[in-house]
Amino acid sequence: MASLIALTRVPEILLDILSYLSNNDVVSLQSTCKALSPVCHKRLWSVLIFQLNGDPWYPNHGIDSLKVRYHKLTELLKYRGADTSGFFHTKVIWFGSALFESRHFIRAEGLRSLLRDVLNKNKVDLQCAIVSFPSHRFDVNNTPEKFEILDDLKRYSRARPSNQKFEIKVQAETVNSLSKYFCLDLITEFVFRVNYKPYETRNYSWTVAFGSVDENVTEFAAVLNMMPNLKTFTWISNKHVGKAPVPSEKSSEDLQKAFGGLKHLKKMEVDGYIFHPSLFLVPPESVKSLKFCGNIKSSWWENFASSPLNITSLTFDALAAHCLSYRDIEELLEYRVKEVGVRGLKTLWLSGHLPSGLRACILEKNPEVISRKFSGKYAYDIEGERTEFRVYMW
Amino acid sequence: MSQIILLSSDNVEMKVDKEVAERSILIKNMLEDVGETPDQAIPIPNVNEGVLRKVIEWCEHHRNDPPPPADEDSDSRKKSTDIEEWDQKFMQVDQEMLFEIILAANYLDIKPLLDVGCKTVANMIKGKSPEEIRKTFNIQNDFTPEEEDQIRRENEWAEE
Repeated sequence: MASLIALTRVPEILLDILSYLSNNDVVSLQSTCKALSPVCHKRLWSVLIFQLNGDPWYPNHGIDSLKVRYHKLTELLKYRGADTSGFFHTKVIWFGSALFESRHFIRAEGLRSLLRDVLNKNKVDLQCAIVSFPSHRFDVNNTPEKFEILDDLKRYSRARPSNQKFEIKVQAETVNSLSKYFCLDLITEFVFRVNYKPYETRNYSWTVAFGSVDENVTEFAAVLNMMPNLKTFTWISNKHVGKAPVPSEKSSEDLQKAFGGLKHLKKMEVDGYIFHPSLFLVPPESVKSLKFCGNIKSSWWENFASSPLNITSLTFDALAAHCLSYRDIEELLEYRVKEVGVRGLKTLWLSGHLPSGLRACILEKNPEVISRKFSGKYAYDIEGERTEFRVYMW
Repeated sequence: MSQIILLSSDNVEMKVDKEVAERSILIKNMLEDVGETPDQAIPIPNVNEGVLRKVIEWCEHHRNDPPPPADEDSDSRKKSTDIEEWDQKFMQVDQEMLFEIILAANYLDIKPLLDVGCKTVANMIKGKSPEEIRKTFNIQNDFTPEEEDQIRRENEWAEE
């Protein structure tokens, strides 16, 4: 008779079910009976996320329920001597803030040495390593011992057999020591977060190196050139535009070339703006999904409109009018989209203060849009369309 | 529209539109291999009449669904257990039927139906204590209290 227990004969289905559950639920299920216990054990160890609670600096995709109480794990394995065979099931480790925090140095130290041991002795068969590169917390040069685990991870990455799937996903706030700590060609996802200080041009900086904007752009392009297998790229920065310096034509070209070279890039997301709000980077042809958030300037729109893009999903999540300066609003009111180069869309999401004509132009050229969502005061195009707009909304 | 005949494990023949049956990747591939629409019934040896009818009902309703996005990154981090309303109602069956549907969806290779089934079971487990889970699924506890306690202790690290 078909039942939950009978599914233990088809463990891949059971694991599929467990993939929807939080760790707490899996532990409860594990303690119900002996038959279900092994598959639950496997699932608990399959993904280990060492990220602190409330760590705000990365979109966490709802993984909170998979987070590990790392001090308990360290205690169990390191100080109570339990065996580390659970790592045998581990496919994904998120080397997150819990490893690099300074507040509980001893715990983090214990966990780091535990994981270093697991990596160095090949006790784990990873498919994916996610790293929140902690440059924003520590100075690489002053606390090198905290980065030894990344040296180990690099060694481990290099030694992975080439016929086995292994990828690295990195979130960072600086690029200038990435090549030191990672095999960049194994990186498939790169989330870059930068804190501009746009209102004080003097302090404009986005790496620890405090270079000029052109130096920054060149440095960034050089790193992208070393990530040929990148599939997903996310840029997060301030949305508000101050007096950001404009990159020179030469360095903009270099950056464009670097983006063009990412032949495997599928998804690109820009929250804020890349170096300067007028800079529109044409994504490589492989990109199918594009998302832009923030304050989008009319010069950017012009570049977007004139670029031929063949993508299936496009999202503009622009700032709402009340978040913009009068100048920005007026500038955008004067600009009207007459033609767009985007084709092949299936999904279109628009929200916030957008230039008029945008929606109509996109829809006219992309009759196959099946999923659409429009919101925001200025998302309608002309007076007569307001009614139609309401229909879309509801 | 061309139709084909499916034969359940208990030897009941069912006529279905080819398009509907092809929601099953197993049948789709089989038909592609054969080349033309077969006159004879296609045996589905692992699925009985009641379950097969249910599965066909689902396929009928979802016959025009767009193919799922071929996203290689079927990211384990972003899984939600939301189920659309029609599917929820469809899954309101007794437990044996629920698990039979899951097994049939797995065998026939109908990924979206398998997903709905797995989500339904996951939702039945969510937020429950071990005792409540046992009650829900009629599971006999074969752990001694000590063993159960040990599992708790060994998994303390995994719990929020």
